[in-house]
Amino acid sequence: MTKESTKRPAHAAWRRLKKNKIAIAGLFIVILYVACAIFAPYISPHDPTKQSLADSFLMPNAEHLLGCDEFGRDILSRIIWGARISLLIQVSSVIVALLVGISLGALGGYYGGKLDELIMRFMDILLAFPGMLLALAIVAMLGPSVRNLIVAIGIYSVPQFARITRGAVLAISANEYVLGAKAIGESDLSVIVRYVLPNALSPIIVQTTLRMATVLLTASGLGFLGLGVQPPNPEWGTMLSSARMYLRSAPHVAIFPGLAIMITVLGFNFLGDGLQDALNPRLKE
Amino acid sequence: MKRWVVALSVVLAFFVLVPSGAMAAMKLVVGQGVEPVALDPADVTDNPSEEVCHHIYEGLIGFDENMNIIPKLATDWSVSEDGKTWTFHLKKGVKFHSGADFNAEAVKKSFDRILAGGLKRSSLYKPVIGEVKVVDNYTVQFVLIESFGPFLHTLCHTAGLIVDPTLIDSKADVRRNPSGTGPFKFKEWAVGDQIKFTAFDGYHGGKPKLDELVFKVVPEDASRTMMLETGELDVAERLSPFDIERLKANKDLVVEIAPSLRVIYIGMNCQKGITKDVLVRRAFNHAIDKKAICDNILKGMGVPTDTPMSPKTNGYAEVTGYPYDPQKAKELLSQAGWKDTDGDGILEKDGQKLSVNLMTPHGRYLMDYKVAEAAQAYLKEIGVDAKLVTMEWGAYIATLSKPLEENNVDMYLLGWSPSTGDADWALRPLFHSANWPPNDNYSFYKNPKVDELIEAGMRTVDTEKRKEIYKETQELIVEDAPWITLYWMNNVTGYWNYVKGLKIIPLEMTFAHQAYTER
Repeated sequence: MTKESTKRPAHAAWRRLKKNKIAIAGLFIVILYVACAIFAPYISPHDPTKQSLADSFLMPNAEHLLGCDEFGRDILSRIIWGARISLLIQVSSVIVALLVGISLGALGGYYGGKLDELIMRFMDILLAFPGMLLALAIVAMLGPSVRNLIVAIGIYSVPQFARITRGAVLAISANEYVLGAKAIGESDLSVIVRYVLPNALSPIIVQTTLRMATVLLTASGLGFLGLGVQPPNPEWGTMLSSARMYLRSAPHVAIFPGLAIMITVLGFNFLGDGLQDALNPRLKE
Repeated sequence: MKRWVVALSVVLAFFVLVPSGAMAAMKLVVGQGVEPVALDPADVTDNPSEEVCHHIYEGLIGFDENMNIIPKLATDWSVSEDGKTWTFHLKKGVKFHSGADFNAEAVKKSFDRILAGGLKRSSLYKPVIGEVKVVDNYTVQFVLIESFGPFLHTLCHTAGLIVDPTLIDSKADVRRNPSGTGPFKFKEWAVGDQIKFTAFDGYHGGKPKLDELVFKVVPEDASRTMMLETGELDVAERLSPFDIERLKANKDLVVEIAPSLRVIYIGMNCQKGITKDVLVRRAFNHAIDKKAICDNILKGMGVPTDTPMSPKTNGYAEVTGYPYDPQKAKELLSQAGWKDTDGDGILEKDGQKLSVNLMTPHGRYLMDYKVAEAAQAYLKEIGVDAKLVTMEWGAYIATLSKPLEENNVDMYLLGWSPSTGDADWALRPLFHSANWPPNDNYSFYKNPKVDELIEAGMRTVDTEKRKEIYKETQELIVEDAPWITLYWMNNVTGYWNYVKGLKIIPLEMTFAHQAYTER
């Protein structure tokens, strides 16, 4: 580590990130996506649920930049509003997963022993299910709605965060400053929150970014299977699914939401990979 | 050199022999969307089974492609003054596939088997027929329990096809070993793939032109269309409306769009909840642009209607009531006391939101889910918040079938095709108050006058009188608006232009009795 990066690690990481063109492209996509989600009511040209059957399958034109879907709804507006729903699902479910995953991982890693065994074996059980299947089972049980979707995706993302946190906590707990803090009589909670977790942040940040991509894909996948967001609310996966039967006659209805999913997922992945390199420079050396 | 000559002559012989063999057998492959369940005409309720049965068996009478009643195994028939005794004279010289003779005794045996009960369609005849009497070898009499207007239509039903008496005597499994008097003889059934038939040489109408008839099951719409295009299928049933334009562009293919008896509707609970108010039900009727749905979502595969019957159903009357008029719909709702007091676009009354559930199957009928989505958007335009709920078919019917106290369904999308082709079966199960769930009157509709008319129509034999009765019934039903009747469906069948003599029956069946190929 250079002298500078010990002083201002965030600044150094940003400088390394800036040099990575792909990561910056990812960052740009993510910012655009978040902006769409936040400003949807102001930038969307039409009402995303307004039906006008006479305009069904309209090809892209000046009025409807991306054309209209089978109900004559403006596809661009639906994609912009869809970003809002997707972002809501991503952020909420990742928060759920972060809270539960970090707590479990930190507990296991810090205390070790039987508690660690118990937590990690439970995480192994969750990991043993293919992720999509687990989310599918949870949604099928709770019934399809945005809230249940968030719960399902949150639960299925918990083990990844728990594992990563545990690993980092294990490595950090052995450091002298942690032992020192313990020696001067700090409580366990205080040690974990003040000394251990802040130093375990970088892998968690990377994982969070990468997870955003997976979550978006899973939410779209569940939407595609009819278990996600319910109509007439626009959600990319649901849009893709209902456009599938028109692939041969009106491909644009499926292509645009598909592209939206692809580009956004790519953006998060680029950013996540870039962050990984920027936060862990030693990995590259 | 010598070897070359031998090889060449083998190849030549192959070319000469094989096509001549292929040319001799005239074969027709029909692609069905769903596999038949069984081949016992009185023990099946699904359309694909019925279609196949009609090629093996024949009834005394049957339907033509316009739903007219035509003689089949009976030459003529008459009814007694009181409408209770029907006499049929039978065709002579008819044989079953087993070689047994067709006569009055065979007819009695076939119907007695159904009347004994235990078959899926026993309930169709048991409440109607008291006794089947053999008058002489070629005359048979049906003595009814009470006079029954739609008797002839009921007799045309698949369940009335005559089963070979030797099968009944030997207690063979009719479901898998069918035998009748029809033009095609059962050969083999490769479950999940195809059912094969060969021509019945002894057919009373002359040996059929086809040597071999195959019903092949291809569940996936896209593959069925593709197999038609590649020539693997000669005929493909139930094409997707989105393939029609492409298929029509192919000059070697014929796409036949024929009306069916199936009516698709959104029923509404008439006894409880928001839809109990007839003004609300009428408003909902005015809110939905059926024509736009038929044109854009169904691509012309549906034709808008207000009356709950399709024009090909006996007793149909043209009754109109609810043109698309969102303004009128809003007025009706405001008359009923629904106002938007909080400005959120959804109407309220006494603190209650105008919020209903709209149940729909997904994949049972053509575009069913999309149609429900469109209806949801139309209802939103007039300030109604309709929540779309979809379920798997079994669970869906179970939910609709719940008794009134437990039933929380406000609106539900469903279809009905009266398999006797008569108004009685189109209206009695769905609108008579004796048929509330668990029977099929899922909207809990009750109008004593309608009940009375339906019963009168059932007992009246005179065709003209029945017509009047059913016209009045349809007018009353449309006025009470227990349904948003959406449209009746067209049935799309595609086949190669070398296929001739195919008949498409409005009961969503294709008959290849007189079909042949001209390659």
